[in-house]
Amino acid sequence: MLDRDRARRLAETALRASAADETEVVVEQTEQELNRFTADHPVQNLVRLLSRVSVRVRVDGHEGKASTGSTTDDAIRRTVERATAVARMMPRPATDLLPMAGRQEYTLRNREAVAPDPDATAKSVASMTARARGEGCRAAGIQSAENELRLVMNSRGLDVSDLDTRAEISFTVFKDDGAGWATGISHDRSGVSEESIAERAVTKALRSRNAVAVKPGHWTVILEPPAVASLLLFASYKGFGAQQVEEGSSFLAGKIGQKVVGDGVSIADDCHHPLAVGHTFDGEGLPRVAVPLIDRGVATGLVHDRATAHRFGCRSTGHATAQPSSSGPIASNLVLAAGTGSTADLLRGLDRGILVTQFHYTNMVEPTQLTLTGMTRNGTFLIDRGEVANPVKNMRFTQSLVEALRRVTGIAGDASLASALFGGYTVVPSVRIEGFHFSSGTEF
Amino acid sequence: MRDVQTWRELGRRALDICRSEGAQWADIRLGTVELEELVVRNGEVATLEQEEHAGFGVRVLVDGAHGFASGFDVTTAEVDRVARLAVRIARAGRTAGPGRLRWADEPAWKDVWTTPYVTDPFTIPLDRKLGILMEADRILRAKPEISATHNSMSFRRERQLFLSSDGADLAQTILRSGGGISATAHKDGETQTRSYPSAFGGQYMSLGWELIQALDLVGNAERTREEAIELLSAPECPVGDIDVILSGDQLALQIHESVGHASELDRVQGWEANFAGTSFVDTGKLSDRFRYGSDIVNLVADATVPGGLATVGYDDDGVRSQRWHIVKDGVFSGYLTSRDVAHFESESAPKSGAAAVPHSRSCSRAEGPWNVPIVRISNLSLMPGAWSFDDLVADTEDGVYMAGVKCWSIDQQRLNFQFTCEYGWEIKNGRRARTVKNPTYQGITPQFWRSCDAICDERQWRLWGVPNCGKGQPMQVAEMSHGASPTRFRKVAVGVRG
Repeated sequence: MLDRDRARRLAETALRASAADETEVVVEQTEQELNRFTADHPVQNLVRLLSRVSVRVRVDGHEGKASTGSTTDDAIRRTVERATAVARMMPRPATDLLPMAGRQEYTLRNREAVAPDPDATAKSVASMTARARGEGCRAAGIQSAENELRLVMNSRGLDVSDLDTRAEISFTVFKDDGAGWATGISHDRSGVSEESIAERAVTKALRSRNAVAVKPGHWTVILEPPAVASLLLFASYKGFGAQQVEEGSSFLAGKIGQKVVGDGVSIADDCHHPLAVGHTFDGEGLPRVAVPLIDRGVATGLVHDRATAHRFGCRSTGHATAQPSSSGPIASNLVLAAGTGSTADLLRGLDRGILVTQFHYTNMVEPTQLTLTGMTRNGTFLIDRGEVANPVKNMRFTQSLVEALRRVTGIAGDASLASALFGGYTVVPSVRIEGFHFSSGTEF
Repeated sequence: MRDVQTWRELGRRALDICRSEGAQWADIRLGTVELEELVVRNGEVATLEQEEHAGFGVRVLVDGAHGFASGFDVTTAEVDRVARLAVRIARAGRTAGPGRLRWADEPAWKDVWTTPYVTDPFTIPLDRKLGILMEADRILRAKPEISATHNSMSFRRERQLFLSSDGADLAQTILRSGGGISATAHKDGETQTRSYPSAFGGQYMSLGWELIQALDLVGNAERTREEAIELLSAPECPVGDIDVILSGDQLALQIHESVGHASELDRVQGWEANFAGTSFVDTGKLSDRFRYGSDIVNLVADATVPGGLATVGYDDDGVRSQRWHIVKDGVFSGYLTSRDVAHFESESAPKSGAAAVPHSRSCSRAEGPWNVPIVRISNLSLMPGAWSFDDLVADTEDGVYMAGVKCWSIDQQRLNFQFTCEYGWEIKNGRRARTVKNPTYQGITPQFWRSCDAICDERQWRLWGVPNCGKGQPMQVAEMSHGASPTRFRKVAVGVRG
């Protein structure tokens, strides 16, 4: 139901209605189908349509912004008037205000929409829950399909739009005290297999029964991709942006060109990676370019928006958030370079360690070393002499991500697109880390 | 509410369509949300934005299956389409599993309700609001150690009409205001932040402009700045099992994470298990009168308390707001429920004393009419005790006082938690000693609440707003308040390091 022509008409209506020196219009429309279910039945089953039209104007160096969820011409015109009124209320002209970006020539990625299909989704959900019930398991999960249309036009000739799409299944299974989880995320439905996801989640739940407590402390860990994603998410928010480096709150402040993590670690921001999802242009309408951030352990780059690029004397990398922004540019498509081999290869030669399926509620204790804390969840296992052994009770980690990346001793070739509780989408493989600090345990 | 009559006509039309398509239950919420956000950062206006959104959502039950659809074009054609879509979704979902949803019977209220306030914050000129933020910012940046500032105000008004197929007709206007300041100090590789009156945007309440006036952001800027600078040279929090006194704002988050989410009955039933998790508070703990905390711990949910962010006349299931104990004299006593999970609580009735007939506790709320209502934490507060703060410190031989939320994390059953605060000071022999940075404590929920032995009195009790509670898939943000006064917990694991 998303209509690019209609989105364009909304933007053109706003541009025509504005008498400001510069005007930018951003139209974002989302269509999402989502079935949220237990083993017995869906608990929420929905299709929602969301719309936002944001208008940013400049009048005599003063900037104002207003947004609306309505799509009538009257609402659009009122929004322009409110943005203009807001600009006129600014106490003084904004400093270092760059002219809005002009016309851009680059290739936009437009994916085919994943149309809502409640019947097909229900059939898929039924097959997953039947698999769980067949083993006497409880279960919970979601299956969703989402399309997000984004269009940016401005009075200087900028005119870009693309369609980002996502299909996702996330499935949690419980058997007695055991829990297992598996997920699949792709830009289209064919990239996620309900049979495979159900099988992995059920198998892990059955295998994780009768967990025993192990002593917290420093352990060698093998983190599966979603666990890696929930750590790297904080480097995305708080590490690789030029503004955080300027303010001294990033672990890369004063470290560009220096060795910051282990030799085996290379990280880039690349929305064009075949597995990645997301828009191909940023909040200012500039193309997102691939940026090598860490190359074999050496800090090589940062992501920029136009403002930080101006201050640093370089070009924007296309990582602006919606403007105006107090957070600065964000590296929102991190890719940790995959190694070779499988997770089993990471196990080889490891006498004793912990295999982590997923981290839960990871949060940041301290930004300059990216000290994080969080809990293991949905499948935590002891590794004994190179084999996955018995399940262990969940533990809390309190660990600097920077230190952890210095102690990476293996990276698998199994990169996948993964997300975390607090969001984000990262392309990551499984990773082996020495001396990972678990600080306490819990009761299950 | 000039739109209400139009909404009512559209809404009744949608309900008629749902019934004619076979829905046994249908409701529709139509509404608008107005938002005004102001941020002054490092001497510049970083955000000055006004938003106005409109939309509607239709929910149905067809043969025990749930369907919901929403749209943003509030027109006859779109309302018709969305109503039919909701029924189609429910019919499709009916095939996804053998079970059925249940729905508690409740009175079909007809009412109009508005948040009580003194001054509409949307009538206060922007230049007056910016003037306060700019002046607070100037004071915060008056010393070179301050590397970043963040000063904000936020105002939100939601107008909503709820209609249901059993005749409910509820028009509500919900208003809230918020504001706060923070300063980040940086020197020699050390970075510390101090906020007022609380972190992550400050204090939020269901009040008008009078809240901003009462906060006195400018008058508290100098102290906030000095505390941020003081932390740069402060030693780390000590390590060990010692007594902790938590400030009201930190205790509010402790209540939120370790009691609020744990007592959401949809979590207990596994409905949230794939996202934020489940809960250790299974229904057996209601019937078995589980010892949640010490005898002095009384935690009361209250969707009627003045100023609370979750204070409304009726929830998004159309159920009238209520007040009840979650924990009474230390014993677990009730859940947070909605109409579709209420029966799980009543089924514990034979031993727990809960009502035998399912009734919702009025906790069903959605982020705007375009999202589906789910169980949300109500205003949930620790009732005040009898101590003055000075007496409590004087009574503590070896402890740490901790204030200001900095970092939080808790396991998916809400047992193992770890919190880091912005600011702390040691207590030695009943007296305040040196300031400490990164004060961190960790515990297991019931053991922690059972170690509570002293709660300050009503003079220090206030509601603290949580404006950013995430839950559900698709994730929705809800707001609620937690009343608390400084409170002591004995022998807590303090000073966890990475």
